[in-house]
Amino acid sequence: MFGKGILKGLGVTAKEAVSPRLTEKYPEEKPQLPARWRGGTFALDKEACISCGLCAMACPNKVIRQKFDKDENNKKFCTEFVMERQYCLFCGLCVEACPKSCLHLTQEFETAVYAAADVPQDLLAQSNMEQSLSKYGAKPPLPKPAPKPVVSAESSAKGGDA
Amino acid sequence: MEFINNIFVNIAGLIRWVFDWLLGLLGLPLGLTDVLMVAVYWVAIVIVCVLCALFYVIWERKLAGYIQRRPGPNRLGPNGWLQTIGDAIKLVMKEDIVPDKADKPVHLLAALLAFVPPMLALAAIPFGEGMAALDLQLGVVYVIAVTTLASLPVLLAGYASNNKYSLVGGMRVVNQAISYEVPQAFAILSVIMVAGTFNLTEIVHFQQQHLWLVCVQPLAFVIYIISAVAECNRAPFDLPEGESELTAGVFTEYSGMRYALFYLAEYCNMFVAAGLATTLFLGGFSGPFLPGWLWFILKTFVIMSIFIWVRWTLPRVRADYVLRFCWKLLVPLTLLNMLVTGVVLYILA
Repeated sequence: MFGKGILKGLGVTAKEAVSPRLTEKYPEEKPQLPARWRGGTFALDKEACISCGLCAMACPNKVIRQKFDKDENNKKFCTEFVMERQYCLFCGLCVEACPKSCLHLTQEFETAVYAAADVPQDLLAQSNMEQSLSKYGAKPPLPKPAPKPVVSAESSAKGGDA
Repeated sequence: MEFINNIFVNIAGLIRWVFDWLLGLLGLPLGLTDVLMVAVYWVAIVIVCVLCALFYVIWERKLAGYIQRRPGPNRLGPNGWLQTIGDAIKLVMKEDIVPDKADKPVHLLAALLAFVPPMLALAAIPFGEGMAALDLQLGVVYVIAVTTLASLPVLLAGYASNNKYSLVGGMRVVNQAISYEVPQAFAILSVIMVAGTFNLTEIVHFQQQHLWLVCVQPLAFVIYIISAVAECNRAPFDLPEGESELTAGVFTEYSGMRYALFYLAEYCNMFVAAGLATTLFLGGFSGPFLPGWLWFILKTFVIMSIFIWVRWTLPRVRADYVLRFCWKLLVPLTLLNMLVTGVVLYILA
């Protein structure tokens, strides 16, 4: 029939018009971010940090600015830890590199600020650990190796007969 | 209910009485009342045009949104219903740019003249019982003639822009408009053959007594709707607007208020086409319970929604296919329809 495609198309649009809307009405409804989303701010667990500097070494863009000092016990501690977010790619390599899993990305996406001076984030001044943290970089526990099959002395002598 | 049905007729009668009294007081001839009533009817039609443009701009965007599973404009006003006012304010605030070598008077005239044909056509369409500003015996002929004029301002706009793409766009609009007038006129003629009169109010009375003419002439209705979509330069026949995606469209050199005039005139043209479709095919202002003018508004709303639905479903037709479709398919179909209608009427009479 001539025009069948047109009628079929009109039927499709008519059905869509009465179907529920799929829009997430921001800002009334916040988006559902994935658990391992690489977010817009960083969080640092200051007690867990061992000041190794691996995160700064892993960063491809020299985003992390750190200064260390040695205290009276000759133990390294961190005197400055700033994330220069204007250069950050949010690749998450720093989070992956941290051996103590103390550096985190957060689920915070409304990170717009009014002044350029507010963009670099001083993690010693404000650790942000109370924010909703992203699960990116969380190292799952390694699986235990399978137990080796125990071969007794008699069966190996007889030739391994089952 | 009778009172609400006749409310606008009563208001017009009241104004006429006031004018008669005023003229009697001033000692002027009473024939002047008719002249003054023309001004009142014109104001009423302008109000109808403005209201319909105000409503249908936002309804188009909302329905387009619903078809695309999104809510459409929903920030300005309750659920977004005041969006057109925001649009109008935005367009007024824009800079009024006219190209350097463009024909300046014609450039402005085209924008102003865009509103004239729909207003002229709305004068003859009956919105309710006794609510046609011009109840002409040849109402249908008048409306067809006036809607023909609607393509001229677009041609003027294309010419005055000093832009070869706009000129070609304008030529294509005229091409399309004059081609689709033929099946439109023949479809309307089939309806006239059944109803037996050119008077629009009489056609509505015929439908009140018998049955809606869409049941008798379904093919003519479909062909009229297709021709109306092409006449109003709506998708899928929206070459003048759509060409902007390729090079330039007819309205490229129009910004701000000048573009707003064309934009609103498009909705008024659509409203005229929908009003004519309602009057000729869907029984005009007839219907139970509700006042006649409310039925007219509802039926026009349905036809306009069909226009919007078609726009947001179908892709644009290529220029040569537009003409091929008209002359090779629609015109023979309408002629066949007229032949069959004539034969059936001859047998039945």
